Amino acid sequence: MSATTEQPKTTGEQEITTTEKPVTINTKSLEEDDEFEDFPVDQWPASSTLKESKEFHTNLWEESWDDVEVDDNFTSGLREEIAKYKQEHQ
Amino acid sequence: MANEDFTMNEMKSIVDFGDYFRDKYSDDSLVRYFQYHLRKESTTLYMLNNEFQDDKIKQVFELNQRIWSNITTFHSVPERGKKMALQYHKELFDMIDEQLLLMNRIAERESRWILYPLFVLARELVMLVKELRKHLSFNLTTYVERCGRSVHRSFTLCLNDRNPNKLENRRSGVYLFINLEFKIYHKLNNRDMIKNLVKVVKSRQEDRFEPLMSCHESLCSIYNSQEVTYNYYMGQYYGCIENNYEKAFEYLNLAYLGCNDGYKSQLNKILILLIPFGLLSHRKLVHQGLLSKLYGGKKLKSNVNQDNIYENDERMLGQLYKEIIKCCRTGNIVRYDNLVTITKSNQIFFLRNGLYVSMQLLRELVLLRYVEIIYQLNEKMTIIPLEMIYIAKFYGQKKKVTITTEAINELECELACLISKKMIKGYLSHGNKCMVVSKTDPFPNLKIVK
Repeated sequence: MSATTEQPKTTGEQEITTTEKPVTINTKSLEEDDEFEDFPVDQWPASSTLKESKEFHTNLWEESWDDVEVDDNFTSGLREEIAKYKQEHQ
Repeated sequence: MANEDFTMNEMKSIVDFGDYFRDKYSDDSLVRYFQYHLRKESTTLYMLNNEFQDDKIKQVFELNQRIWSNITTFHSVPERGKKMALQYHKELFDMIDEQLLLMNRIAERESRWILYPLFVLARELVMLVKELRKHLSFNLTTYVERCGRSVHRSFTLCLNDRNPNKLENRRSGVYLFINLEFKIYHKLNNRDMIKNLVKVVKSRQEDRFEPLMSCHESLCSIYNSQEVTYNYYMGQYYGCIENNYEKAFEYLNLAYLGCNDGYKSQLNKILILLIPFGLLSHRKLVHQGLLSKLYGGKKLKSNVNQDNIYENDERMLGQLYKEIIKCCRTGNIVRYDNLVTITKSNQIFFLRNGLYVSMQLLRELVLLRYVEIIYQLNEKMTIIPLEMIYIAKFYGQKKKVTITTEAINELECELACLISKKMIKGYLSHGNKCMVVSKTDPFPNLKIVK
């Protein structure tokens, strides 16, 4: 155990999104176990790095988000709400 | 030989340990000699020529025999009690530490050839700290600190080598030990020591007379796992400690490109930092296809064991990060707040990975995107009522949203921040409760947001 285990430990499910129920948190995950692990080997050929992999490298970043056209539920919701607001305030 | 079960049927090659020091070279057998974590002795038979007169080398050799003998004896016992395991690991730590100190003394008079085997031995000690933790019921700090002191000696004997012969100079091994030090300081949770370490290295790299070579030009260029590790730790330092996302992005991008996609656990750790730092420094969005390719294929369990860092990381990257990127694109500030500042398990994840501050800064960019979309949808009118900005996100709610003065003030404050950071060109009118934006380019495309 490390010195950082002062908080009470609880176990339970972890939720990716909010739920109505309170989510129990496992504070053990704040301990030092969460580190950058050693690689099992120290060498691999330069040809097998992601830099050389066409599949991953060219695919890493999309255009910056200022250029991204968006149209989803959220935007259409906003559009309706703005129209409503304008109507009310004219 | 330490292994008494050794049978003559096994073909063993014989190596004289002293020869390495006489001929000044290292090979896989020497490296294997120190790889205690593999638990199984090497098939090579090591011996020490009696004519070789050197006390320290002899001591290293004898310690090695004792260590292997302990390992084989311990693992041959079918039922090992807690007490026995603890005793065994403590003894093992003492012996390997002693061996490392001896090897440090030897390395002081040796050249570059000894660095990799020395590193492998030092790494064994660091690995053992992790093992010890499973068995120790009390504070581990004393052991981590001892380990840190021994590794630091290896580090300084590299850093301070003044050998003018560049091929023999030990400075090229310095980055190997920096990685171990990073690891130890993380275990100690000591940010000041990390800062100091980076400061020392930086000042040596900038030395006017004898600048220290970069990691890429050092011995790490042969051991690429160590180059990736160094770049990761540096990226983590700049992003999580210094909030310098530009630099953090540079290092982590190098770490990503140098990595091999077979090492998922390490790749996860790199991406966990790289994705938000890419957004914060260059407003770059990671390709959704990449995340799908890496994490979308397999079915993610809904109840992952949180103690299993690997599973948890995979799930966070595959689900949480995908959602966050979507929020960044669409400006969905409500969803972002839900994910980042309300869901506790996600908060824990960000805290654990040193991303708490970064995620708060990222919120600003999501808000900016949100305001930008409102502006677009409002037919690019230069006057935007604060109420409209506030109320729009509550679309679809049956109950009428009550607008409190506090809520409007809070929004006004957030917008003032965006304006002061030059992310919005415009001004606020408190009396008229509205924001007036510039006719030309009200949302300048900010490359770097600090």
